[in-house]
Amino acid sequence: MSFDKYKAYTQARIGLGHSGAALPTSAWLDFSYQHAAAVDAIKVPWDLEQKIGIPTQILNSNVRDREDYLLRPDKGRRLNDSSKQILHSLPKIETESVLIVASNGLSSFAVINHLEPFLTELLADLKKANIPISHDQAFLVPNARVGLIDDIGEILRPTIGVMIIGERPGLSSPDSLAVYLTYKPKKGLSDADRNCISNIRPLHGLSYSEASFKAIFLIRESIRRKISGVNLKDESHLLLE
Amino acid sequence: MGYKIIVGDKTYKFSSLVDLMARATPLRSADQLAGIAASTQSERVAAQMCLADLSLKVFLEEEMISAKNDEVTRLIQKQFDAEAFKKISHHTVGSFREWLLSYSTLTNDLISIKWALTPEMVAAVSKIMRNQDLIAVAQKCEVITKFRNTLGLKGHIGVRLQPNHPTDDWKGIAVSILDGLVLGAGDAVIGINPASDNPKNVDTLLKLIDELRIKLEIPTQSCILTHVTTQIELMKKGSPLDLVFQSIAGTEATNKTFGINLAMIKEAHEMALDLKRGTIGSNVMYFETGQGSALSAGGHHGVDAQTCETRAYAVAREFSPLLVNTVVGFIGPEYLYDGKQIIRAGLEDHFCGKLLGIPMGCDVCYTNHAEADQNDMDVLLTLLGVAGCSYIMGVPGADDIMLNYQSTSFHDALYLRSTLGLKPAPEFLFWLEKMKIMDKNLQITKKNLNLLEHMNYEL
Repeated sequence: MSFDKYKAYTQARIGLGHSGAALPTSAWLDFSYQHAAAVDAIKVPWDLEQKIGIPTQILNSNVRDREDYLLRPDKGRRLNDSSKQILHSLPKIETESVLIVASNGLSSFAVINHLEPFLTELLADLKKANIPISHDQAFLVPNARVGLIDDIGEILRPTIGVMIIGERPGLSSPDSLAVYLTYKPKKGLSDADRNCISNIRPLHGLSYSEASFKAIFLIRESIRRKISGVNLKDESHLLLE
Repeated sequence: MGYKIIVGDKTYKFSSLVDLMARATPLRSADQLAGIAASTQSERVAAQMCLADLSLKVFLEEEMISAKNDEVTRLIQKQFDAEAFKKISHHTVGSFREWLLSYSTLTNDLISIKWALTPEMVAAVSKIMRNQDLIAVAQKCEVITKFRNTLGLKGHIGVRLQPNHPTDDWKGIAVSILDGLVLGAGDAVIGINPASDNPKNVDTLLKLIDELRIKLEIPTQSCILTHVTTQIELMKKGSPLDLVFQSIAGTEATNKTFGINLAMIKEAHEMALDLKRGTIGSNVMYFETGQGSALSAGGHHGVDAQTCETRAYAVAREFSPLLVNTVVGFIGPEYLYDGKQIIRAGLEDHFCGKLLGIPMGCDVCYTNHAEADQNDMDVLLTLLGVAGCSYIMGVPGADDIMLNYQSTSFHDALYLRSTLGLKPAPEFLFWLEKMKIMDKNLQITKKNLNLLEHMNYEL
């Protein structure tokens, strides 16, 4: 009798065995190797030439480099001046729209592996729901924090801001993607004003279609109730009953 | 009001109590990010010297965050016990440190002044204490709480069993719970951070733990760490909810970004008390905190991260919680840069919480983008074990696959128990022995997998 038959149900490190109170040698060194790999992964840059199935516009935060990004989240939340100029030159949109922004965040592997396939699902679902994309393009911002969507929203004034961002890498999940939704993103909002769908990574986390399904539910409810954040609960499962 | 001190041929000036406290704080990236840290190491120590000379009464006279704009300050003022303060009112911060450390100051002395202390006083004294001071005084404190078992007794340490799963898959969660149980974890709480806060999902998880707990007759409690409003909703619908969880912070502005205020916590607290699910006690709240949250939320009012954190303990103690823990290294390197800063903050939080009378535990943890690793965690874990920490986390293999950070493992808890002789909650230890999971020497027995046979868990 052992834990082996249970290991299929989770990536969690269960049934490791023990020697005294300690981990067996192989379990310890395996953990140590994966930590080393995760530390190395943080430093990997994002290739902005990446094709994601929709026209893109590259913008930049105030962050200087990766080290600056880690230590100065305030800079990662602010759009730099030349990027603001670019946004001011875009035509104003008065009708309902969803702004799509993507950033590597803390894991470039997340956007490299999942951004294109996830966006394909999301764009198709938005089209089905008759919800237009702001300026028919996605804005790519390397080294951004979630709050940067407010700076973009301040200028473009979308109904909903969607930030798709690489999450902090875990040992077993170096490439997990998250989506943050904000109703009418603008300066002065906080994380309590946003809804989050996290752990988007097929096989072990949410599939692209599950994540898109939840996102569409939240976008529709957010538009209907004119709110986002803690007062908007993810009740997408009710649609399945 | 300004403060100054002359050290040698140098004069150091500080513009206010807020400025002095920030500059006296041992180095951490959060205060550097906020632009309020000391500019040199000498200035930092000079600020500590200046702080040591301040009377404790100064903290009653100069508000660090105005009561007008902040309900936490108003709560702190309401909690203050002027009568009890008489016992320590003659102290400066420096002589108060010595009083705390003196041989003749014992557990009951510390308990008798807990309402005479404001969080700002406690934060101040912690800033002039070195790590061994924080450990030595915390070890004298004792904060006992009860729900279905007894937590916080001296010579004991609890473990929160944290069986998170990235999609809240119930089978994945169930097998992690079983893994924790056969390794002796779970007396503090079986507590899940859900990936989704949708109420039906949370209800399902509550029922999962409740059924398991009843079937195996485990003397422990459960909690799903979701937003307090979701839990209020579920209590109204009759979900089997033991403990109400909420993340809290030390300023009204920060709590607002968490979508909470004191009235909301009070409402949830009263509802949970009415459920009367605790068998031997009625501590029904579980709070988490962490240095840097106020700065991260833009709600710090220029006050240093550690003082903001300590103010959160005033919020916690208002509701007689079963459990409170700082999630010390979770927030990332922009707030606590490396192992050294995380270790210091963990010891500060534990000391400050205990002195203010809350059952302080610690999520000894780090993220992959911080300059820290398992060795740093071993150091903090061991120090907290010596300091008498109420409980730590137990995560399978120390790797939380939902929250993407590294905490302490079931094995780490076993290490602490066997090397320091720290026992699980008495009721839980009785159960572990009955189930032949743990023996009298606090060692895992070879028969521990009997639990799996016993369960014959069909998935």
